Amino acid sequence: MNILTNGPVMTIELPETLDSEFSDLLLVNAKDWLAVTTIELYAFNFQKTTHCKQSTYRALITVSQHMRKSGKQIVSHNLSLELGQQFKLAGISDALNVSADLESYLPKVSQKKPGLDVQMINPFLEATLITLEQMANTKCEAQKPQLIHIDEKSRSDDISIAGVISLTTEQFNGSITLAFPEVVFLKIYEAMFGEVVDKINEEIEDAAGELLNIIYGSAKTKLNEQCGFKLESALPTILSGEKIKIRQTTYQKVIMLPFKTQFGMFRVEISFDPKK
Amino acid sequence: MFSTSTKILIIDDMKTMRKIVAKSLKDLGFENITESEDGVKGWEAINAPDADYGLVISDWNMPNGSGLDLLKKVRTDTRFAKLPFMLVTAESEKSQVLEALTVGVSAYVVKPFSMQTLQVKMVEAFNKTA
Repeated sequence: MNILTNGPVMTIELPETLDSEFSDLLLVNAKDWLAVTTIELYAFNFQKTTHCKQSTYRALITVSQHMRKSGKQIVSHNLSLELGQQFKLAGISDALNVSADLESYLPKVSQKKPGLDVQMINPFLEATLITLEQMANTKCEAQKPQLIHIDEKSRSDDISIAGVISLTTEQFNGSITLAFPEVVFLKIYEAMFGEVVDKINEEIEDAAGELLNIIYGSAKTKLNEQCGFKLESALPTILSGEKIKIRQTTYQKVIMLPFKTQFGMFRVEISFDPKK
Repeated sequence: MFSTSTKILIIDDMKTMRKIVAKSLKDLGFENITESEDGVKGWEAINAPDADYGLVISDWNMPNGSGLDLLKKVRTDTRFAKLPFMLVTAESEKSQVLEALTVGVSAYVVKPFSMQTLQVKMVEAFNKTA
């Protein structure tokens, strides 16, 4: 079997003869194909296939079902007249989505845009990493993004300083929050300016606001250029105090991006309500 | 490149940014650094009798007189036609960069930036106005 991947489309070129050996190979390989999360359409190309034993039907159907259950599309194309007739008589044409025309499926795939959450994560993640490294001499490691559920939207986590910017576009309303425990941000401030400060003051708040400002400005440019949003310039609001409770009550989705530094963890939260 | 005795004016409404730019300049060996907090005060500083700045590094977005407005003023005054003027901004939209180039910016720095980037842009500004 030859496998060709082009963007969200994986084409599986089937061999001349489909037999029990092919069935085993198909079932084993399908697990790897399904692990490729960017694939939206699996296209079975039967152009070379001249013989298909009945014993292979089960494997073909099983793999097709797994693909559909994973939210993917499938299509079988380039079948000979004889093979098409064979599948029809066996009653598996619909299960394999036999189609004479692969092209009709391609626009549906390419037009499907990634969700807002996927579009939003990378620009903010990249902007945070580069801003902290270049402007604050602090190297960060991005940890796995987390989707915060409604019952977890109010948390403290020892956050003592946070900056918030409201986001308003035609596509969504939301906010971006940069939140630090006191000890972590005081160390970052020290790395920025070489000044040791033992508690949060106005200059520390100003620094947190400016870092958020730069992160937002950098991500905004990418989001506007790449996703067609019309995010405007906005000024951050700074919150500080002992164990601030950050509560996201109005937004449907809250994505938390945790970052690890040599001084400890901090996080960026992206909250948004898509407009219908 | 500018000599380390060059008199440099940093204009930004955010104290943190002024501190970041000033620290980078000091790390590069520059000592003669003055700060202003907006475009209006920046223009006053440039116009002061004993000013004699060799380089201006200004933020773009400021509440009281933007960096672009200040650049326009500077470039329409024949005394400062060749004054090296750098704009620092979080925006990197093509239209903004083009507008700044049209008005006569010497170099354009997009935040975030490293000290090395600032140095490269200073060389660019120096060469453009030399």
